[in-house]
Amino acid sequence: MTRGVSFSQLRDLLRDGAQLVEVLPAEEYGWAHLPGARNLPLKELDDDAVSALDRARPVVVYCNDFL
Amino acid sequence: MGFPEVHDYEGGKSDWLSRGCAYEGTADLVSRHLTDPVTCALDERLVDVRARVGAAFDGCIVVDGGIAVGVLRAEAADADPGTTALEAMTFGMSTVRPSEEIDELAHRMRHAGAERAIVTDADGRLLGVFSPPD
Repeated sequence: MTRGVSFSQLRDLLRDGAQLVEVLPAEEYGWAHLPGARNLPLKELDDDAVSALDRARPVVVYCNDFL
Repeated sequence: MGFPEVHDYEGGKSDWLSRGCAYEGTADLVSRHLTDPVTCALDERLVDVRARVGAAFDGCIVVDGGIAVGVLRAEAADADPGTTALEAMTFGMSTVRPSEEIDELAHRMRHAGAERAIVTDADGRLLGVFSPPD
């Protein structure tokens, strides 16, 4: 189950090694994204797409604003 | 997909960028073009502000706990030196967000005849001043 986090909670998670994932289309990701974020567009999200993520570390997904 | 810990950053990219945080990508946003503003506190006397800034006083931004609350215009230099920033300042200044693209903002500023823009985050926290590139 996905848990919503605030900006300050995000900073804590990043400090502790969380992985960032932007789920917007590639064009929007290329325009600007959070430092270190991977681009996994929502429409392309499958087991292959997420294989590069480390299952032992927390994952933080985001889009433009509220999902 | 079997991930034990997944979070959703509720504010998203727009929240991150509107705070002036660093980003990667091709966008050229105001946050990368900020200069430090001249500021003063609400209870600071004009005589002290002028002494600190010097002859180049061209106005300053009045802040309270990091929040931009008003502007002291250059004409404030003519007021009674004992006057405080709170008494002399102008309330209700226009501000822009650090997440704006500089081309669009520069176009609007040229149209309005504005040379500088005060940049704050969504909470009103002063981040800097933006001047359009020549």
